[in-house]
Amino acid sequence: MLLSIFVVGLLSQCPQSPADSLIPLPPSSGIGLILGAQLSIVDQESFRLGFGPVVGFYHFEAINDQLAIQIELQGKLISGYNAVTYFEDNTLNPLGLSTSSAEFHLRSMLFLEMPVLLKIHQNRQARHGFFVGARPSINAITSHQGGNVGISVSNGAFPNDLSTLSMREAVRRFDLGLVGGWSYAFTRRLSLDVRYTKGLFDLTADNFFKHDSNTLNSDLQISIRANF
Amino acid sequence: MKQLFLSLGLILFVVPATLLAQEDARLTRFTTGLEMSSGLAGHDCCGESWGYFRIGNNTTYRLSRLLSLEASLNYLHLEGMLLSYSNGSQFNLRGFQTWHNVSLMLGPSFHFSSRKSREWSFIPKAGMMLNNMAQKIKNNGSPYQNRRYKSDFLPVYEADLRMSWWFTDRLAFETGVAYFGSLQSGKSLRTKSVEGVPVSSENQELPAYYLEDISKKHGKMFGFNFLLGLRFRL
Repeated sequence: MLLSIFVVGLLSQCPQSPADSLIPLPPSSGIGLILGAQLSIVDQESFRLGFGPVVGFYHFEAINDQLAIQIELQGKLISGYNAVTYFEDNTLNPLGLSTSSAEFHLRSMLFLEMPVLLKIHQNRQARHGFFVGARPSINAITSHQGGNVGISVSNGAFPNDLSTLSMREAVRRFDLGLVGGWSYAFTRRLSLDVRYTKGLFDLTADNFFKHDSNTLNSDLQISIRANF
Repeated sequence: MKQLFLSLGLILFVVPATLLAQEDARLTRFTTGLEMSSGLAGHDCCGESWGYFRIGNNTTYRLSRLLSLEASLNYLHLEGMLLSYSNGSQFNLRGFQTWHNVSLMLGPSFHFSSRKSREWSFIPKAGMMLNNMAQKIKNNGSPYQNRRYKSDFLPVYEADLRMSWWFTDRLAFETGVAYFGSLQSGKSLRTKSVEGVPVSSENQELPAYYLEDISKKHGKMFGFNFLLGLRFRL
């Protein structure tokens, strides 16, 4: 229902002309707003998907009639990761057992991304366009980074202190992806953008999370773009 | 309740869609917007929360230069960590709660024009939220129980302060802040399904008390949002 009214709203922005007509000559450069949503694979093994918003701004600059460079700055939030790890250290002597433990859950991440794209149109007034590019990103953890640490000393001997462990050290801070997609211009100011981004690096350290599966920042995005 | 939702659905979707279906290109008194927001959010059952965002659609009908009536439909996502339970060795239970909620609200919108093409709006709203939640409980990091609850309606309220910048006759960029909250409901949670390891008989008392405690109430939710959006004049 939400999508239907929004699509109707978008269609109201289109000129009263055939769908494959040209749009009025768009500006050769400018800035715009990105509003969209994305689906990411948050668990490779069970192919579980996480849904979240994408918002940001972009700047575009036409090189010639067919090519344009677009630089974007966008943030996206992904929830639904289920990477868990548990550490325990025991010290046993005739007086009893002392235990320390630490438990970490990676549940949600925030990505600040800067895709740099090359856009290709038949001409500047064409509605359809294609683009490819690279997407560097900074990755932040939104849930508890220090984990839940407990210690129980009952025999006078202290086990290893696990409170120095941090999930931040086990999650990659920087990432790079490859982007490919398609755009459709409703008007000279408003367009739809669909893209797939393939993350190139595993985000989680396997020796910390004790698994060998990859956690990639790969997603399918759909967004509305308005340039001012 | 059904009548309320039908009425608001009519305002949100049917009337604007009908107006758009007309070929007359004149501008109407209706505007519709898409907005996304995130920020700080919390729930009184969770010591820590994350992954908060809202995606919504709102439609306003302009009554006068200073006043509109607004209805909004929002999807809300939030995750949080419940209080934990540990008895030292066998049980170290930790619960994660996830909300996938939908809210429908209605309220007046007061407008103040600051400059040509820019307008500030203050929008107090109230309505109902379909509270749809699930819990995943881990024991020493391993899956222990998955609990799902039946959806219930909870009363919600919101106050938005929004700036609209109309850069064409029909299209505006919007930004603003909003405070959102749900009210305490007398309803208790109703279990829909429980999957996973049953509570073992010899240790039944304490884990059972923990599981009973986390499945008692809907609780209250709040969110302080920063929002970005686009608005279309129909």
